[in-house]
Amino acid sequence: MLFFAKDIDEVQSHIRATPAVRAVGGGTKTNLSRDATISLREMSGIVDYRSDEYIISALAGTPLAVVESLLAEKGQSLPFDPLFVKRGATLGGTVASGLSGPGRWRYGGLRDFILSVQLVSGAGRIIRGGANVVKNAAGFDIPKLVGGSLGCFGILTEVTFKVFPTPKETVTLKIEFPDTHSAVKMLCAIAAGPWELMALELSPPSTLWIRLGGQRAAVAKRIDRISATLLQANKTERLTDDDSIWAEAKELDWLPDGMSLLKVPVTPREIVDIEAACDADHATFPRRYSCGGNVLYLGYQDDFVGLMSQFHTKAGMIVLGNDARTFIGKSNANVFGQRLRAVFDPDNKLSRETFSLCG
Amino acid sequence: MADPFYQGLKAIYPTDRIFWGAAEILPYESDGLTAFKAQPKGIVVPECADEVVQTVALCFSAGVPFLARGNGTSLSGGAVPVENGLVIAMNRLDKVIEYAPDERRMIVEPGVINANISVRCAADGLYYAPDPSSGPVCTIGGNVAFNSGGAHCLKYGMTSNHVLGLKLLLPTGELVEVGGHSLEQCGPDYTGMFVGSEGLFGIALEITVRLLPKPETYFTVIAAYRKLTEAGHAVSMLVASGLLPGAIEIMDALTMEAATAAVGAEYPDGAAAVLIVELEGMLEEVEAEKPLLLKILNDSGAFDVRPAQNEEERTIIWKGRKSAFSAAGRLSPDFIVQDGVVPRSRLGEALEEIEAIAGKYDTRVANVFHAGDGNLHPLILYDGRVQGSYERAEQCAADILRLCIALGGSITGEHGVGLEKLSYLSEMFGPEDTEFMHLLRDSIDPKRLANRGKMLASSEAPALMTHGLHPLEKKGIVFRH
Repeated sequence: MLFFAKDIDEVQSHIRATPAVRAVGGGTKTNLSRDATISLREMSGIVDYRSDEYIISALAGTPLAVVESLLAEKGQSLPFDPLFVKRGATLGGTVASGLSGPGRWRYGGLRDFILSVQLVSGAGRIIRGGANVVKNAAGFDIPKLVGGSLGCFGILTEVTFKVFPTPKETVTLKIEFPDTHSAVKMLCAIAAGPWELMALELSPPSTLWIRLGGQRAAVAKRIDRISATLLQANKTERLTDDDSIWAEAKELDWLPDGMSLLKVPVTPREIVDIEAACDADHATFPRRYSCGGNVLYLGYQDDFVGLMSQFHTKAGMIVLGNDARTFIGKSNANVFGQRLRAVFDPDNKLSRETFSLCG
Repeated sequence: MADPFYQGLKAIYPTDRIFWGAAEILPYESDGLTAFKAQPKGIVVPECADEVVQTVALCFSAGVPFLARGNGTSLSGGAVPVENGLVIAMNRLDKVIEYAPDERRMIVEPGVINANISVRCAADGLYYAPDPSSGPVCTIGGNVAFNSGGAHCLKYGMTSNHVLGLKLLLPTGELVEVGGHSLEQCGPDYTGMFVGSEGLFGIALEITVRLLPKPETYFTVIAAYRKLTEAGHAVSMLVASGLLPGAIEIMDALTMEAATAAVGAEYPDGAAAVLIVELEGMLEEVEAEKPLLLKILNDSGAFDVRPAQNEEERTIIWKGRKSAFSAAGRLSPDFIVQDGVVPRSRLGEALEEIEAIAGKYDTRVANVFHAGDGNLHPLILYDGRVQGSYERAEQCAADILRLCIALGGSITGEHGVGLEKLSYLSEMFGPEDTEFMHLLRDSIDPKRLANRGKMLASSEAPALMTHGLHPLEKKGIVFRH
């Protein structure tokens, strides 16, 4: 049975009374919140927003939609483009899953914008890490540790993020290449250039999406120069009213309903081989490479056994679906993490099965 | 020598790479913060990672504390030796292990100099973003240990934001790999947890950094103000405008005087403060932002606004700014550099308070800071030869740190806690969260060997040295500008 905590005391009581604890926020990452025992949804609300400080603090159960609309009133945003905003994702779930969206390319991901956290450890202890200022080097960086930790170190109750001004104008180019190889080659060339793109993505087999943002007076000229310098011979479509395109990308709307979703960190050099393996498989895998070809999101129906030869050296994570596995491929279990976790969770209560795989 | 620990070291190193005895260890007794010094047992100079692994294993079995040291530029006493411990000088581990320009990544050993990373990849139009003022001297291993910052953190973050993966040597002698080659990963962020752990979690033997494309152009402006608080207010106006400059820095009159004396930097006459703002990016974007920036600066009460006309002028502006710490030596025989952070909107308030604190202790304070981040660097000037001068400076520094805590900020933005701010960590985090950090350290380093006595207070306090040049300066090994 799912317990809905109303305040931090109730989170502490639940953890103390429950032998195996797993938290859920909006439940949008279905495979990561299976068998949840405690919901943070009722612990929702903005704690502090100071637009002149570029800082927002909110309770863990606060929906991203609430955060984003408040930020938008001041022309600001979370630049790492958290996923599944429309589906109802919460701030805490976003931190726990460590997921960033297309905007990760420009200034960095969730790890680069998280400033402080409050969490309840497996011993029921309230722990604070970080500081509510944009720069801080005091103490161990607990906020970074918990990003992507799936609740293994504690149940998040409050989070503070750095925010940035949103570019005044944006434009998107959709560019078709004859094949994956040439698309990846161009992706690397663009990534190494001084273009300051907001997003750089590849839809297999060979479509590049690039998004540019900035001052109204400059964006059109910049995109003209990028096109003239790099993209002369390719079929290019310019999309000026592009918010909806990227809102869809943040929801992973290209993924058919009911499909499971795998996230795999990759590097651009590996894309051509992964694509060949996908093409050779009898199953279909809707997919997209985000963050300049540094992360693959891959949909699958039943399994992806045929692709494991590509993924066995990487630590991938199953985000959506109902899969007995959370992580696939190379285990990132290590003694550094295991010993830290023994301090956070001495009785091995928190997301136990998950940690045994990732810790 | 019968000392079995020394015999163990001799099995790892030839004698010319072990320094043992008072004369040989002198240059290592201190770091960039010369107020502290401590006598190590000895120094070893490994030339490969395997020697470091063997050394740490020996330290663990013998229970000898150790400090892995780069070039000793720490401003918080972070690289002061552990009393009677071993110094492992990492400088010769300075190889680039892999350079992948197409994927904008470099894997380096910890002894590589920060600025040399950018030099190495410059021909490919890439650079390594974190730029501490000590960049031409400090090593990347020290940057990782202390999560070093620089002038461009607001936009691009600190060291931890640019480290993708690490090969770690834990204080127990075990090797662990965390992170990877990709910008993304799955699972807990152990890389992020290690960066900034001030050497307490062990030694990074391999560091994977991400590289960024060099901005196409810069537009760097100096704006002069009659009052320091006006410059602080201008920062708020800049932030409210929606511009995101690469750097926003403030220097006060005393700092300008020092920079002029040290490197010949020139500033408008009569300025109580200058604001340095740098836009960067594609040509068209910077062209569009220029008039917005200049209007804000003029509206903010600046009496003189001077854009750098070329790269040479930009270099001079940054040389003046980055010389500030070492230039303070021109103003005073000794000084303490503070590194507190306040919420940016309270900069003006903080500056007024600092002035009042300086008056209270009859101490001169030069102010230079990364204003965009609210990161203050008050330089508290004193003369260690005058009795009571150091104590007054210390109390002044303590009041400034407590001010930062009271305003909701941090005791350190980029220098780390080290030795200098040991007693303030628990004031910032409270006793329970500080105790928790002790537990975390003990889980990784049960014998408390790795950089013992830094960040987390313990009984081993180093000797204080209240006056004089850095030992390396005395020996003529390093010079200030």
